[in-house]
This record gives sequence, C-alpha cells and structure tokens, in this order.
Amino acid sequence: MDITASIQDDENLLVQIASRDEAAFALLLDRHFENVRALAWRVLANHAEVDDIAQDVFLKLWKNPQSFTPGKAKFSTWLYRVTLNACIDRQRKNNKSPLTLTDTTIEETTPDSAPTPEQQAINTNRAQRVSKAIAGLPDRQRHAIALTHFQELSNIEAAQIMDTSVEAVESLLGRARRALKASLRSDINELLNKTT
Amino acid sequence: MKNRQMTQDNYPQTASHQAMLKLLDQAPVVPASPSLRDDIISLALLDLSPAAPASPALKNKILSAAKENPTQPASAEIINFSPKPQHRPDRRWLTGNAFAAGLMAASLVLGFWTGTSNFADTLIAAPLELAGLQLPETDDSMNYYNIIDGLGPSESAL
Repeated sequence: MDITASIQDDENLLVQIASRDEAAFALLLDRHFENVRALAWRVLANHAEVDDIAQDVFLKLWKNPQSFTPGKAKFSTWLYRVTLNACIDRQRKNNKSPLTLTDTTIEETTPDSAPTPEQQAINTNRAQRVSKAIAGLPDRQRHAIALTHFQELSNIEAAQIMDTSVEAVESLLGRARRALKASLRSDINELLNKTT
Repeated sequence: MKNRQMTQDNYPQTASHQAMLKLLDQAPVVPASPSLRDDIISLALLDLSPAAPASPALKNKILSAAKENPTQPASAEIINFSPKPQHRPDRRWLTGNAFAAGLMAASLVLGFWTGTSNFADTLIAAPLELAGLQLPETDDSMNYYNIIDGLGPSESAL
C-alpha cells in the first residue's frame, strides 16, 4: 500500500472515488468495512442481512460519493448514519418486529472463555439471553446502545447519527439500561453472588 | 515523621481542634449506590453478546462489484466538494477602502453642492452650511482654518 495513500483522509479519498479511483475505494472500504458491519450486526436481528447492508452501503458510496457533504459531519459519522438508515429501511421492508434471533448464530460466535463444556454451555446460554435482551429493546433504544456501547461513539456522535438531540440519546440510553437490567436480573444476581 | 511531630507540637490538640475533627467526621460519606453494581454488571454482560464474525470474502465481493459497475466519473462541479481553504478577504482592508471611497464620493457631491473644491473644507463646511450656520467669507475660497476661526465668537461680540 502506498504510504501517501495511507495518510489520506476520508474526504480526499472520496474525491478520488468520484473520479473512479478503485484503489481509493479499496482503502476507504478497508478503513470502514468492519464498523459498518458491526453496526448492522447490532441493529439488525437477521444477521444474514448484515452483509447485504454492508454491500449496499459501500456500493452506494462508490456510485454516489458526492452524496457526502463535507463540513456537516465527519465522514465516519455520515457513514454510520447511512448504515443505520439502510438497516431501518430493511427492517421496515421485512416488517420484523419484535426482533428474533437465531440460536445458531449465537452458538457459532460465542467466545470460548471456559474450559469445561458445562461452563461453556452456561456462557452460551447467557450470551443468548443477552442477545435476546438487546434484540427485545425498542428500535431507538437498541440503536443508541449499539452506537454508544458497541461502537464506542460519544453521545454527541450518536445523536448526529440518529438525527436527534444529545438529551434524547441520554434518555434512550437510560431507558435501555433499565430495560436490560430488568431482563438480565437473574444473570446479574448470579454474578453478584459469585463475587461476594 | 519528624515533620509531622513538629506540626503536632506547633499545633497542640486543643478542644476546638478536637471539636472541628468531630464535625469533619460528621460530614456525609459517599452514599451507597446498590444499583450501580447492577448497572456495571448489566453493561458488562452486553459484551457477552457475540460480535459480527469476520467476513473476508465480502470485501472482495464489494470490490469486484464496484469494478463491474464503472459508472461515469462525476463532473468536476460535483467533485468540487473536496474541502478547500476558504478564501477569506481581509475585512479590514475592505472596510478601509470602502470608507475612503465613501469619503471621496461624499466630498465630490458636497463639493459640487457647496461650490468648494477643497477636500477638508468641503467636509467641514458643507454640513455646517446645511445646518444654517453663517460661515466667514474669505477672499478666494473657504479655507479650513478660516472656518475654524469663524466658528469662534466674533471680535465685535467681545
């Protein structure tokens, strides 16, 4: 990879993409690919659609790079917003509410943190409950949790992406945390009993 | 340790000092927050939720799809969204020039109106004439110094 290319900022890469520079597109894809997929993964219940969303988002960017308006927000913030909107559109089309998760997805991706099969089973079940608790949140609350907790964005950035105020994001986060605490009460108590 | 001993020697444990310490002990302690532990654990539990698995093939798929979809390059006008340093004219320069031009224009207009040609004279005399003040007449033309002199009390008045 060209050293000069690696230090180019996103906006310069977009200019090159507008003149059909495939190398610039590959660089931008490398830079943001995982973040786009990670957000779609947290927002969409149907994980099979995550890759479709990522593909759509990046191909739209390739076809229409000038849709980004510099100065309004950072490119990454804008890209998250495009991804979130794409996920919302997809969910509306599928009309899947409340969200349901597939067990197989969780079993495939649960980290192997315990040596014994018994402990592994407990962890898998717990991960499944956590995923279901997240999926059970109302859409806006889940979006706020996905952006701030999983993508580690600030409340300000989350508010920009969700097109709302920072106060609204804080309120959504508060309600989401209370809901999650209620859903995961048994797991929380179990962990607290272990530590005390 | 030596320093602490010296401090204690210098500041003996008087009754008021003891009373102050008792008061300090009555200051409220950090309140218990039983829900905080739950909050922390519930947030930590979120991380048990599996992350998106890697999808290395997808990246190549997107790149090849982009190659197969070579749309026309955007026109120069559209590409022109790249951030560029904005040209900021020097406002002081503009203000100064505008002021000078205005002054010249005012001088010309007032000069024609009052029949004088001297710049300073025009500026001072015209508003005074317009205000109805009598200005001293000089032999040749109105002169700045004459005007200033004329504004004072006349010799006959003194």
